[in-house]
Amino acid sequence: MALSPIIVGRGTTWRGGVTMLLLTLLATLHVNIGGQSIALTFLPVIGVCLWPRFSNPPGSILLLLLFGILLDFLTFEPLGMRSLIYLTIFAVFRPDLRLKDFRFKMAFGYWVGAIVLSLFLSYVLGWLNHSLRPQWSTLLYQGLVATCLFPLVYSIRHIFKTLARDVGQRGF
Amino acid sequence: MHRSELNSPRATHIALILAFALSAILFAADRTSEGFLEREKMGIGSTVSPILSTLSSPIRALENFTAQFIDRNRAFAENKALKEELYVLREAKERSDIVAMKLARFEQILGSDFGVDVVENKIAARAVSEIDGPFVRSALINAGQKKGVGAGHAVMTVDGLYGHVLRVGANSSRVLRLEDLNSRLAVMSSASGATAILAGDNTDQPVLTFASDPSKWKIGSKVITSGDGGVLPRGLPVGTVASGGPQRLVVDLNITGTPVDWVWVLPFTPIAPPEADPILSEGNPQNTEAINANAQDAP
Repeated sequence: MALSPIIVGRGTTWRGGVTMLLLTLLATLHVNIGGQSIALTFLPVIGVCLWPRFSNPPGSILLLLLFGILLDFLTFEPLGMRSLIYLTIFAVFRPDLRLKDFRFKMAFGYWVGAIVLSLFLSYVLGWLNHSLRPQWSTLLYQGLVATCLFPLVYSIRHIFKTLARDVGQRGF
Repeated sequence: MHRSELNSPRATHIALILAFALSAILFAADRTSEGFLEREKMGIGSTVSPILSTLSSPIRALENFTAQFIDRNRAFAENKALKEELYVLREAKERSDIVAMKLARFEQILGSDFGVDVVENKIAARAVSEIDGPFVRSALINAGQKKGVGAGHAVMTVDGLYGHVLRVGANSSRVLRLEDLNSRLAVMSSASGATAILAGDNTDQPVLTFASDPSKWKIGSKVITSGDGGVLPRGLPVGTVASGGPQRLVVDLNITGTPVDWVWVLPFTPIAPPEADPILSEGNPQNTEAINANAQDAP
């Protein structure tokens, strides 16, 4: 894992934190549409994948640790599992160090890598904790649900970014 | 430390290593010790449940809207089926009333009252969060100790049994659903009376294990709680027996495929174990008083 020189944080860490908080709370909800249950457990991985550039790395790591533990607390899943997944994704992909702002294709490429890694880690950690292999089908289904929702979260983030940029340019 | 030092790769490395170490310690502790940080988990659950309740409101509204839409589509056929069922049930109710009257008379003659296990007081609550993961199938409901919810109480929906209360906080409770890997429930076939243990396996169809007489379990039979163990009342509807492959019986739960919004907690008092209910003996002064009191009451 090569760490390039850090660009000094410009106060964007809180944006990642707010996004993660919302996605974590949404991840604990459960939707049943027309008899089909939709679990949103992997939604916060989108937040890790789209973590803001120029954020403070130690602060980001602390937030990811806390939000991982919070989700484990709320879902009664093995404690520390989510934070291990988030931290691994953050350490491997380093979304805060990317040189260019995300375009959708690039972000989706990041996302595919991140969700594959998080599904693999969930499988291994779940197996370790329960001494029983988790069901691949359930994991894949949840990964697919999060993948379907990725464009929506990306679009909302894009709209907010555009609005914030426009306000800055207009001198508000 | 200066801000630039805090953002250095060295600080990032240290933060990452510490965070990984802390997560790994928590993971290992959670695996090895039963009930690790349970109180904190319930505390956070109680704090967050009002927020989740608010967040889930639009989702529940959407679920109810789609459910209503589906119901309307099949309203005509359902109405016809319900009318037919009503005619049958009217007759069954008349018979049931006569049997109840006879039973009451017999009980009066025998001087005994076995009563029924059906709980009359129900605590209404909302399922604010439902976890449908590969490891855990549980739910968080927004009623806790303050409303009288206790660990082990059965949780029902209008369709049938949903699970039982695992942990209780002040304002919220954690429900272990029937599908969860750790869920074990004593059940019986309403048709044959055969008993078995319904074991969750993190799928939508829990498995029937330790069946008393496997030949008596027929596909399509209704499954109800047996009340064995005295933990849950007898007769709560659970689901229908289905085939899960050769030599394997599973249960199609009544609650599967239905949006779960409101639930009812049944505050059932389990039968006390013998240790807590000692046999009357003349040596025990308390028991002697009880015997004397009974003797005075006797005609």
